Amino acid sequence: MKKSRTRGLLFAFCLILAFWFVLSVIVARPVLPRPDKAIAFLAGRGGASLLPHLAVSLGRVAAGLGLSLLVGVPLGLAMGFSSKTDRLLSPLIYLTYPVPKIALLPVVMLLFGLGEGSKVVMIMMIVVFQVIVASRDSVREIDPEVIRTLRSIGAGRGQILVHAALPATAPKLLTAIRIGIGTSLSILFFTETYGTEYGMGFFVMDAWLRMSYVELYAGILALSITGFILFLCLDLLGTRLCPWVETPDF
Amino acid sequence: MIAVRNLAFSYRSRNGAVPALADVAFEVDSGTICAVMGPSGCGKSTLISILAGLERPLSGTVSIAGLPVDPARQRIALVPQQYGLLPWKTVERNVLLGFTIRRGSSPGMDRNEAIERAGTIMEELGIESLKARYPASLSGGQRQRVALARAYAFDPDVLLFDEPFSALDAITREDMQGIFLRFWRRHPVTALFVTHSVSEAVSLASRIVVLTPGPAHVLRVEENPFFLQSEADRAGILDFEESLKNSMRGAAS
Repeated sequence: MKKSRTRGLLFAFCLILAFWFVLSVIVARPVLPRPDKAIAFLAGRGGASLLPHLAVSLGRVAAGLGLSLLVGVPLGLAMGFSSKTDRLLSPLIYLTYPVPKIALLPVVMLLFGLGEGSKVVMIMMIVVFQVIVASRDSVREIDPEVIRTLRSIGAGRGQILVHAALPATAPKLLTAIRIGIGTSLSILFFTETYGTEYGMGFFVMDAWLRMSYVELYAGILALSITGFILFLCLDLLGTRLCPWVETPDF
Repeated sequence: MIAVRNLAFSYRSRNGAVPALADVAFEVDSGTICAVMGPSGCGKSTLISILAGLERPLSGTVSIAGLPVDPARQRIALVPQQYGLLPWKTVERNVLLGFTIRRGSSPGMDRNEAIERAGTIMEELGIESLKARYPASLSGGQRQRVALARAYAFDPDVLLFDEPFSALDAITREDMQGIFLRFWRRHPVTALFVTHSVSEAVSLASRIVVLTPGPAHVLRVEENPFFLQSEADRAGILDFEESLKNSMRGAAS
């Protein structure tokens, strides 16, 4: 990562902490503790007690994202390559995409139970649409001359998939995953309030019910740091997987 | 040799079949360059697609060295108008594309040999220093050379070019034509290109086929007496070009 970018990120982090500090001084109530207290909680024993919750949540996000990719990428590629499949599935996607998936939580709970199944399926249901659309659009945007060149050399469907479709899809897919991670973490606040005693959603909501505000903010801070680290990892993965994509500095 | 016999092709449209080629027939001798010329929209690119085995003709045949055209069995190197470089592969990997695609079906191909061959060709074309770069960072002329290197690295039976120099500015186009011709003289391969430029056809091809538009058929096949003539008769070339232009004008009207 470039030095200027690291400096920029550190500056933004410090700015948020400063804003939080000023706000906590102005509000001056237990409902908004100072950031140093939340940081001290994370650095101490509290941080260690939070780790199992974080691990469980990350496991659910990974399972949801994995399932989305497993379902969404083949569907998106099929829609991108075959106009017949696209005509068949597009209306279905367009009709169901705008439905707020969280409204389907009771149905998902009834179908997949209160355990891990419904939590993972909820994440999958939200992310899979982005994955399908990203994959389909990426295939559609492949320069037809690239396909002509490959076919003229004698490439079959499998080789066109490996040498054209998958690399063309990778950058948009990474963006979809990036957005998906943010959405998944938000969904956890709903799905981890039932049928579990582990997960960041449970940790934060439990702290809120116990009116343990320092723990509550420490949980939120831990989540945002986790999200931030995941984003950086995805950026790194992007530069490794898609070195031909030029990313602007910020 | 490329032999095109009684080729006909139609596009499907909502209003029925639209004929694009009708009874097209000509030959290209082994180790020569043939230019197929015609006004825009006369079916030149369709013809190239059929020659590359990407489209099936309605009737008629195309054969390469006596065998029906088949991209999976023959080595057909197509250079499309915008070069068809894969943006996600480096220059070197683009040049090695033919080997990458065909190594499974051609067990005799050796990776080290392919890399060495690609390296030699890139050096000859002056793009060796670009091998780690991606196509997006290259100029039009450099992309054209990469496409040419990719075509040659494939050790092709035939080279097909679809309006190869039309996307370049005038000076780069002239430079590239010179580079192509010098390179071809060192490595003569049966080549066919389609163009709407008369001067390009006269500069680069030993045989010129003039097509008429809608549906295309062969109006004229000419041997180019000025091909590779270093001491060419300037007035003669102009007369020859004018005669071809008149054929094109007549065909277009």
